[in-house]
Amino acid sequence: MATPLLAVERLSKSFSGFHALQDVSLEVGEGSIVGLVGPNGCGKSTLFNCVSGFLPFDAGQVRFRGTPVGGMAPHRIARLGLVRTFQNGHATKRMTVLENMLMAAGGQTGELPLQALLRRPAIRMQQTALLGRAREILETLKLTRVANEYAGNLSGGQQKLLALGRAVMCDADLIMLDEPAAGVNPTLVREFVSMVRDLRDRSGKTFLIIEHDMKFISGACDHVFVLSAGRNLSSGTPAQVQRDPRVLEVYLGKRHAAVA
Amino acid sequence: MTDIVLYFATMIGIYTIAAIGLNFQYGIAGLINFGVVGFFAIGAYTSGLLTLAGAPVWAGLLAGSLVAGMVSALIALPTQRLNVHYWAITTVGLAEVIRLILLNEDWLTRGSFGLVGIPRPLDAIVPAGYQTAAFCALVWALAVICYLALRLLVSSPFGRVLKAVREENDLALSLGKPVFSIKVRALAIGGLLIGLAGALYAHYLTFISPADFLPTVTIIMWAMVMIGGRGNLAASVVGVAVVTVFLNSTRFLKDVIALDPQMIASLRMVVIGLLIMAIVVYRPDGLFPERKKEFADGDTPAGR
Amino acid sequence: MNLTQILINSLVRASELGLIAMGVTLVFSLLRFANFAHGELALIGAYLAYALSAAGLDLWLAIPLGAVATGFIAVAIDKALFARVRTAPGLVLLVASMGLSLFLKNVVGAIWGTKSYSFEGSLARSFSFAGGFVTSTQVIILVVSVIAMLCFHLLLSHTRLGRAMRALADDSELARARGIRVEAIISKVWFIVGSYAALGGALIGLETVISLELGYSVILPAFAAAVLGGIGSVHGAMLGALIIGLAENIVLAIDWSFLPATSGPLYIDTGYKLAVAFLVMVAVLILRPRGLFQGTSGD
Repeated sequence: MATPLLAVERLSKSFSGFHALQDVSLEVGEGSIVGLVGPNGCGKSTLFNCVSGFLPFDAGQVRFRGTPVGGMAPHRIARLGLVRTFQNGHATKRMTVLENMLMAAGGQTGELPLQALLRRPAIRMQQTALLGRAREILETLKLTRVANEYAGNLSGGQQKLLALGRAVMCDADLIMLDEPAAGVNPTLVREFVSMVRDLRDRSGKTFLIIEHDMKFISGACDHVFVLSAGRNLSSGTPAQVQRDPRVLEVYLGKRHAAVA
Repeated sequence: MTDIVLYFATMIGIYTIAAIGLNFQYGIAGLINFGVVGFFAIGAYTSGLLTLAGAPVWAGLLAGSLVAGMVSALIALPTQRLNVHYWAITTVGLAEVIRLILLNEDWLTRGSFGLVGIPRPLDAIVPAGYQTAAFCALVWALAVICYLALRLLVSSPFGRVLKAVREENDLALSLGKPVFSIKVRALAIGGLLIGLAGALYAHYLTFISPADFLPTVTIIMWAMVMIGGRGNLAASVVGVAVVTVFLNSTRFLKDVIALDPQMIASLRMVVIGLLIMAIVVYRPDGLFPERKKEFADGDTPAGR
Repeated sequence: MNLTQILINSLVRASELGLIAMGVTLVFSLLRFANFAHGELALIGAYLAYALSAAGLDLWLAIPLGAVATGFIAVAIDKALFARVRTAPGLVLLVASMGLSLFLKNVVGAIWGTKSYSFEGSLARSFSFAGGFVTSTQVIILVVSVIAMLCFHLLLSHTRLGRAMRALADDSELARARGIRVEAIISKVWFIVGSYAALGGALIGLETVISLELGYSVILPAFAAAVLGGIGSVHGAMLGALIIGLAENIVLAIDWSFLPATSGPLYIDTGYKLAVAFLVMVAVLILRPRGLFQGTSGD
């Protein structure tokens, strides 16, 4: 079998005695859309932080395209092509949507001060190209209308779209989305799902998505991993997972009972 | 009368260089530097000592600026681990240590007597009578160069990353930006300018002592930047002008108002303190806040 | 200097510093900012005590009265300035406190001028004690400070106010949800830290002189003590004050000629005393960013 794009191997992390993650493993194949679900406090966000380098982990390993990334600084991991978004969107109050997009692009000439002063023509050419690309991406995300707005003034849903746009602009191969549907109206969620599938189908992007919204998961994901209390609980297709009695008990228990 | 105008113009030019350096650090990159006066002092003493030892003034200015820039980059080292408050305290402490060194290392700095007879550039080539004007022109030429260079930086990809670091540190990291080294560079650039301003200050007054570099100077420079507008480099000139004119004009008030000069000096600072607090409460972005960068169709991002 | 003397001087210094450092740490843990104007509260306390005693009041009435008055001033400052920017980012609060310190110092300067004062009739007798000297003033400073700190300890651990303060420091959202009247608590805290800082300032004035530089000269050591103790921990801040006191006295008393490349006795110039606290703090921050004694996180 080919090496998965992302492999999390028996990852463990504890905070002063509290085991946030214990021996968690999962794999994300190239070109797939994988969901990560579980009740609040089950360790999903901790896993994201460990994988993206924002938190050191205690044991286990994370491999991206076979390369171990444990202990690597977050920006280095991002440069390998693994980009995560944040739950709260990290809205920039005084940077516009377009500035966000331009900033996100990797490997720009002029990101260092001396280059910025001396290599003006090269910068101008590259920036013109980047601006065109940013506008294209914003068009597909339906953010063109707000391109010159401060990102902090966008609605919650638009900010999630912008986060997705930044990750695409950054040339990420694996995009890790942290609760993209939270606080977003249902119509926009459906659009979001189709955008994600579109990005996979047309540009070959891979996704790992934390989400509570089962409609989102069912609509978007090929495969789902379920965590509970910091451990692997179940995995399979969205349909399989939703029928798994262990999952029903731990995660969907109450809601299931209410529906039934 | 022209003397006074020239004095104001020169001082405003000198402080403008320092203020845009600080505004670059704080307004653009979101880095707190409460040790401004330390870097100002480093620039002043480095240039003063070198030129007194016989070095040409241009070399002194360059060295003063570089040394301040380097020390400024050094203070970035703990930023990786410290939160903004600890770090702010650290910068205050650093400036204080610098002042104590100036005060105590007599062999080098002549202690509280300070440096006397620092040469003024251009005095040899410019005919008498035009020397202060020539110095003023030099200061403003340098100020304009510094301003244009910073403008270029702010509108470049580097400037965008700086703003991202200012707005959301983690966001910049998550998109692959080397936040730490970016901060080091931003601090160094600001330090270069503050050091240069200090060096010019030394050559303008021709006499400096540790008493010129009290913590109050830091607060005054912050007042200049806050009044002008954070992130708006050009507006710093306004802040500098307002504060400089205010601080100096009250000197003439002592003939009008029958108050103890000591008291007037205190009241001046009371007003500056009030101004800072009022700005923070009512206009935290200053009189002229940073302008939004809008792209029209067919615009190039790094244009202008 | 002998060991006893170093210990005595350090303890006295810690007594003064601790009263100020505990306020720095409390304000930080409740309101999440480093208050650069905290030293000026000590300055105001010292000047008010001086003014009251110069007006004929007994010193032992003047100092507490000055402290109480400073407590009210601190509450007023909070209402006028900090309450208006309660939710602003830390950066903004830092700048506000910077402006405030300049303002307060110069209000005092405008009223009392730039010359320095000392308390009338505070002529101290000195005793020899276990090989060192201690003045009656120093004994008083120690006793007053220990009593004040004990009172605060009791307040924190045994009263409703203390419990509310701790809840607020841990999680202000939660405290609000539990129905704690946050603003009322904050006012009380400002009163306490204001009067404690004032007491610290008056004690410093009692031992040395009262000058306009008092506030500024004490703020860095106070920050250092608070950071050392782990921001948020009042007991840590007191311990931190002791460590700073010891460091200041020991570093200056040591003959550093044991270091390589030195010739003859080498003492660090007393002019560097102010830098000692700062350097200790930087060393601690680099080695243990959350302080020697883990307090609540400073984030």
